[in-house]
Amino acid sequence: MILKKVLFPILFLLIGVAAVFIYMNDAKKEIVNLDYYTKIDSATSFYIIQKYDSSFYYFNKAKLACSDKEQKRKSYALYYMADIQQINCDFVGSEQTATEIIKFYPEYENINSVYNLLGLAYKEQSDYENAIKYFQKTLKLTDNEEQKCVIKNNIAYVYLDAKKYSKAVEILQPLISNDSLIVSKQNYAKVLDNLGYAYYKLENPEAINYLEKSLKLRDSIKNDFESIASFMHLAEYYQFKNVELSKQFADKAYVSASKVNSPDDKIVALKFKILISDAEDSKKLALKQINLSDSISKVRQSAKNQFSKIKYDSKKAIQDVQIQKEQKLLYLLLLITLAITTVLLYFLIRSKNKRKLEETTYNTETRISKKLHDELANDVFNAMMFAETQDLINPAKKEELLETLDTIYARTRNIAKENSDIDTGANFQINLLNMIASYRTINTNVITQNSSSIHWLTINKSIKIAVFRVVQELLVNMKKHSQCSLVIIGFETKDKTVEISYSDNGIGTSELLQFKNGLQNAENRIIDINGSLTFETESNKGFKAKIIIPR
Amino acid sequence: MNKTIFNKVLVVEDIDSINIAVTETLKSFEIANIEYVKYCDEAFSIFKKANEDGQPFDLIVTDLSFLDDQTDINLKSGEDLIEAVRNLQPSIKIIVYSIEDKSYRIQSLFENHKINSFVHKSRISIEELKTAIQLLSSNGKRFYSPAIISILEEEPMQEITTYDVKLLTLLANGIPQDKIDINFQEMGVKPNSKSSIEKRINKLKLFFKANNTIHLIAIAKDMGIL
Repeated sequence: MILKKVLFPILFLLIGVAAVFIYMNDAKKEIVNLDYYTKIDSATSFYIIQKYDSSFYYFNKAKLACSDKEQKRKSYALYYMADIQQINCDFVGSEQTATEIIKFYPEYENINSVYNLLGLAYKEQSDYENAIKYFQKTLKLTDNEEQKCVIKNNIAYVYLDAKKYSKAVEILQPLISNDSLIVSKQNYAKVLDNLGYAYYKLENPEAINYLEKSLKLRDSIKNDFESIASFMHLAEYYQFKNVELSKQFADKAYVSASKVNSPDDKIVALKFKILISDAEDSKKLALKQINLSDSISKVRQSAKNQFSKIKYDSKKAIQDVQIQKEQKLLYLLLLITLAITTVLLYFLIRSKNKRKLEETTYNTETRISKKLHDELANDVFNAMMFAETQDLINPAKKEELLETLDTIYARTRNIAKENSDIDTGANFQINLLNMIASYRTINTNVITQNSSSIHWLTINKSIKIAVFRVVQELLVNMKKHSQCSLVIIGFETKDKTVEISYSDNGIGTSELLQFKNGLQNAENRIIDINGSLTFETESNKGFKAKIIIPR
Repeated sequence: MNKTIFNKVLVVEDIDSINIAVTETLKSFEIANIEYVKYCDEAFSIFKKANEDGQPFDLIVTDLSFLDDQTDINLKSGEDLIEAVRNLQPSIKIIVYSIEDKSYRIQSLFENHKINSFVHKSRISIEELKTAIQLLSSNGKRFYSPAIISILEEEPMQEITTYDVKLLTLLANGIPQDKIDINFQEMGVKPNSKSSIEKRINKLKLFFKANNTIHLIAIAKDMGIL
């Protein structure tokens, strides 16, 4: 009954606590996600100062800080990761990262930027079909007129790469009269340059006009990066028309590329210079180009490796987090199970002990009751009969009655002693030895052996009581049944146990049965304290017992 | 009955019939002022008051164990009461009247609590109480009930030790008694004089109820000592 009352509230409490714990964990992430914003902050700072590997690392961290529900935040981080990969010429990686966004969050409000990024990635991998496909998608989703022009320029640029010059012209020609494009000098210059180049390839004389117009514009905005393309296209344009001019443009392209630290452009410029230089110069230039190429590909490969490592590590981290989550849950379950088991066991043991105690008490009571009946009631009754029937004026009769009463008194004293409190304090040893000595008679010697060898002060109270009662019971039994003349009770302290041995020279075997009845309570006590009680007896060879108790 | 030096006596006893018997005994000594109480706490407050009033008791007769049917008991036993009383009035005479027969508890009463007499409750204890009072009055001598004397004077234990086991082992191995001293000396066992060894063997024969040394060894083997 107690079990029901106490156990279930505890169970509910535990489950409740667990639920609140888990819920709070989730709720906290949902609402603010401070973690995400601090990561994004760091990532952005690194992006601005062009520390792209650190920036990539933090964007990745920010991505990991998002729950599955925070798609927008996750997409934002992923977009920048793809962008950084592209900056570092890891186009395959960029493609993968960008595709990730499209897969899990196609409703992303900036999806056109993602498409644009993908288009660029495909273009760089010379996958023109896909590049155009994604630029078209971007175009569809873009409302801004200037942006539309930029995207169209991108498409044309793909066609240029694909050597489909007339297609490029088809797209570029209408753009140069677009007012919103003309306003943006940088983009306008791009379109002009591309158109000029397309015309050059188509051998249209308009080419040089556009190329020069573009260069002029670019000079005016002083953008080295933009200028490189113009220089290169012009160098190419003059390759066969005016080698000296072609060389000059190629040199300019190389210088600008060096200024903005664009190794790819440097290589292109070098390659071109090799092409138009004489044998001696081209050899030097070729060596230069090879070195440059090597170092670039090394840097890029290591960047690629780094990005994929960061991503892989984070993937692993996610798995680890998942495993940790599972483990947490497992531990929680284990904890709850343990708590329940403990509570159950506690009550089980308690009720078992209680039952045992009740049993012991009951046995003790019935034993005393039986003793009172057997040893006293008859004698008291006889004394009463005697007093009623005899003439007590007669001093001899009075004396006889008094004698009888005195005997009865002595017996009550004995019963009281056998069941009295046991002093388990400092006097325990004296008390025990006195009790043993009290069984000594003229006919029976009770000898102790090494009685001081057990340090009783360090021994548990319940053990002392059990030892006292068992020894007492052995002696009571000895007095009743054994007819012995000698008893030896030995004490010994061993490594992990204390041992008390009993030995007499009585009649042996026949005692055992009665003995066991009398000692049942005491034996239970020894078992309770994890001790053992063993007997050894043989007819006419006396009786031996040994109590072994763990210290 | 002779008059005694005691004029004011406190009896502490929780069983009425015994109380009456003790009071009657005291009356036979023509002691005018007898008070009796059933509990130690009550006894001590009466004792304290008498002391403060300048009319102190000059004898206390007390039991050792009392029914604990009251709550908030300060003095739980006769020992507690005796200690409190002794602290207040060291010269007070105390007779313990009890059925106690544990020798260590009685010894402690004399040694630690400085009681004057101990009368063991028995068939003849009223006569013994009279004797105790008379002795205490006439020359301040201690009195113990004869039954207690035998308990106190009894040899405390028949105890054997590792020494005895070594001794018996040598005998069992056939070493003659008069050679054991040499063996003991070699083993570094003490005492190892011939006389102390002989004394001990005789003691062991008594303990084991042995008629001779061979018998002693046989018994020791049967009892599992060897």
